[in-house]
Amino acid sequence: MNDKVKKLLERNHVILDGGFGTELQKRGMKPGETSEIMNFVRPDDVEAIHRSYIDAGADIINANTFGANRLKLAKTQYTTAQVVREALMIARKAAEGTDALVALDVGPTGQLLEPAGTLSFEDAYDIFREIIEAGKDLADLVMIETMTDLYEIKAALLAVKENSDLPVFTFMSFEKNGRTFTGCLPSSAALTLTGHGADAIGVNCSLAPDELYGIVGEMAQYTDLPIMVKANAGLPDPATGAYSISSAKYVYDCIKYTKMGVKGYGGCCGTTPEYIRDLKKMLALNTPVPRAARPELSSVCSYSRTVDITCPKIIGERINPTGKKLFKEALRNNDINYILNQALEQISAGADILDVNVGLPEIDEKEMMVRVVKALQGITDLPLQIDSTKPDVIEAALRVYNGKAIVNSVNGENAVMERILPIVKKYGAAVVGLTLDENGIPPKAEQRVGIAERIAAKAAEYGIPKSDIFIDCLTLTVSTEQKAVYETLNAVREVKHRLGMHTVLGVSNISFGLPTRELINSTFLSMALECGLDLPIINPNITAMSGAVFAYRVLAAHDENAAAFIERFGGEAAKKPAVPKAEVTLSYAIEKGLDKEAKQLTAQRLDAGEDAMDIVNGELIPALDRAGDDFGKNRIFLPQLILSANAAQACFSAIKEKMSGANRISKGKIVLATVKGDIHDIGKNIVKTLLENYGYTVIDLGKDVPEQKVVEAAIEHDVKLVGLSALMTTTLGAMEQTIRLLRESGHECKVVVGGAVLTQEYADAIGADCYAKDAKDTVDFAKKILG
Amino acid sequence: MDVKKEALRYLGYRGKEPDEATAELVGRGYDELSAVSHPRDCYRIVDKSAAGNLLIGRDVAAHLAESSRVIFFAATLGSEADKLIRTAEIRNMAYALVLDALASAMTEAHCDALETRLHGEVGGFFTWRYSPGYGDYPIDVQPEIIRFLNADKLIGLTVTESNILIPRKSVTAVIGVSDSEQSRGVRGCAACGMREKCTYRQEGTTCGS
Repeated sequence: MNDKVKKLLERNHVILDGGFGTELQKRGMKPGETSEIMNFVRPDDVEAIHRSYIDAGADIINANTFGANRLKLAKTQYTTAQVVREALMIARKAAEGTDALVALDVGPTGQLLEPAGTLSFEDAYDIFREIIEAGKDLADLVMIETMTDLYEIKAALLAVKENSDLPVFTFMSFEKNGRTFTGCLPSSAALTLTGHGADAIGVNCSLAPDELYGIVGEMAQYTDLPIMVKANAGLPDPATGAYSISSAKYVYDCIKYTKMGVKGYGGCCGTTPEYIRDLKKMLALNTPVPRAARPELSSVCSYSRTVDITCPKIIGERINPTGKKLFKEALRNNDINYILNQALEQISAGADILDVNVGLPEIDEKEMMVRVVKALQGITDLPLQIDSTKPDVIEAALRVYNGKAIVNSVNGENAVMERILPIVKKYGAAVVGLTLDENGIPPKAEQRVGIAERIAAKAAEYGIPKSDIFIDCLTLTVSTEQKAVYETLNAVREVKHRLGMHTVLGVSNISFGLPTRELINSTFLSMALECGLDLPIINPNITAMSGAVFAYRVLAAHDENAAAFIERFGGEAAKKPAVPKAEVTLSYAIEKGLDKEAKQLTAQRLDAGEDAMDIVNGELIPALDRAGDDFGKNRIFLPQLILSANAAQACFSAIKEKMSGANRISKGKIVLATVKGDIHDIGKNIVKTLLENYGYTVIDLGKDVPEQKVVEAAIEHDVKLVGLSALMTTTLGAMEQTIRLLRESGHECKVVVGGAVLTQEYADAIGADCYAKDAKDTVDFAKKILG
Repeated sequence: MDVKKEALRYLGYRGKEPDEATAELVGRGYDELSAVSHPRDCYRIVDKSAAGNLLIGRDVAAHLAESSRVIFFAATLGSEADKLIRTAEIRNMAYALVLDALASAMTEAHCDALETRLHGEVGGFFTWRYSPGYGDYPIDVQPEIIRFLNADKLIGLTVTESNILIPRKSVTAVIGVSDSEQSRGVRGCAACGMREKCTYRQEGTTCGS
């Protein structure tokens, strides 16, 4: 951090500036006009506003660069660099001869990042990098503000850290419900931004000072960094644009922040130099107190869920190909949905954190890890544990992770720690430390505790606190080393109670080679929990395992009044798995959409020796056809048709589980995509579900798919049928272009198109082979082409 | 508006009772969506003459012909609903489809409620609400409307490069306000870009919007 900013932060308070856009409007800028253009058309006004804030007492002024990014400037005649430099020069001029520092102000891109939106993390990073590159030599520090998406502010923060030496303050905007628009929590923001190297964190915009106490208080529990508050002067009147809170009330409501130890005071929308002047007067009378010591807490988080390790938490181990045929196959086939299903199953079984391991020799682990992490955080808010031995895979995963993850793992070997700990530190993660080293696993408990101490000491050298290291005392197999069990348990106890560190343990290895492994596993788990195990890595889908943790939380008085236990197990007797009644046939189950029954009946018939293809062709397809026919005649509706398809899917998964190669029952491959520019993909996904349940293998390219990618996939997988979907008239051009490129490639294939705005005439005009008015039509065409 | 009934209508059940399985999905979906979504809105009222750059094309001009002032508003169900639908698509496509219809219906219901509230606050006579995409009112105007309303800052509403609103279940629209009685303008089929291939119309009914 440079000296000027460092000195400023050593003072007991720092005064920031106030609203800028509202000040510009007072000087004649129209609503909807771009503030950043004012650097060129009203430079004197911009300078005068800066000057007025310095005169009012601001220690730092923000240059007029809030929206200076290439997305927001696209429709103007200016580049990012032009705006950033012009704005910073005006601010520097205003600050000349004063002690005020000039901040490069960075606001949101204006687009939502994937998975909620379409902007990729990497593109967002690049947009911010461009801003930093342009302004770093003219600014004293960077202020990242008004962010509502933790992922976006992480991209901006990384861009600052990797492309400059500037200090950086980060601010997010919260709503009354205590979250940002995208669901980010104050605790998650504090953990993640602190971990990624911010120099101060805070809140700005959206709410008035008296609405932010709880949010600021929560942040303070999760960081030691200075905290700053720049609230709004209430809300604007929709007709006049005037803000509702006076300077007197604003400043009065800020007094409470001095008692909370808040370091930085400023304003956002609707505040004026008057507010800043009054804040300065208030701070002269109310010196902020030092912050209260916070409880030592180990926490990890996604953007919208913080897991404090205050009692045993379950790490789900199922996202791992080791010893799992179907999982390996899914990795080879890029079947991300299979992996997501593994996640959802564990979540409903009570997992708190998910371990993610996608290592398989024949695939690109790094690329797959990034895809899986991105996909997982689109559907779950459980924190992730990145499980790999390769530093480049770990770094790639942490980079795209939206929160504070756990790295699994390092061990006592110096070379391993030196490779991995710097990455852990850079991305503010926690890390699992295995108590082994270059000499293997030491037999005795005290030796393992010794390695744990070494790991903690080494991590401290990198600035990683003890609370972010979880020690794994290693489970050995009881059938080969019966006496070793107590060495593990004693080591857990010592690490937990003497070293005061948290512990993690893979449990299932204990029972290898023994019958009824569940009994051994769950008993060992209970023993370990009592010794101080915090993070059991288990298969939560087995009730005996997750149940042992839930029960332990009751017995150890963590689960008050057994509320969580009762919620999970209270209805257990009522929901026994449905046993098919005699009259429920497979056809009936599919037509009625009874997926559990359909799966069970299929399994029974396979067990009885029936051929899988006979079941598929003899019952499954005809039953689906009848449902399709009823749909065509308006006797049933889309949800019912899809329920039938789901039941058929359950049959297929029963067949897959029994047969060695799932591809054996494929009736042919089809590439599906929602065309470039379009993100309405629910229709395409319905078609996919239906096609898969007719036995076709669908290569799903997703939404917003570039034209060339469709062509490449068609050639790579040598498909005879491509399905394209578009919902908007504005994206039909992309559909036409995709078909043209497919034809030009010379690859022989048919193209079926669908989507709300398409018609037969239009499909003909753009050279499609078939127009499908609904999912059923697509299946009919697929049958014609592929059989 | 009865959101569940409206959603069933989107799903093709026109007046017909849903089967038991679908009814169960609709009930569960409604509860789950209501629990996670945070509907938000923002609006501005200006003289029509001050909104020239936001009112592009013949159709919206005709719609607002008798209005002196206009209200632009934006409403969104929030990103939580999108996430719920996205997650359902992994495990149960039928449920995802039902959630999607329910979320659309909830967004419309929120717009209806907002319109009632606005009428109470502003008074006068309103036209129907009119959105980009109706008639020749181009969707390229979305970014300008978002900026004019400061909607990204106020309610977290953004727009992609192909002018799709994100979160997905969102609406922007303009309402004309007049001190004297005025025509409420076109609504339904006349304003709809889908009228040539609409399945409701083919059956001799309308979707009712």
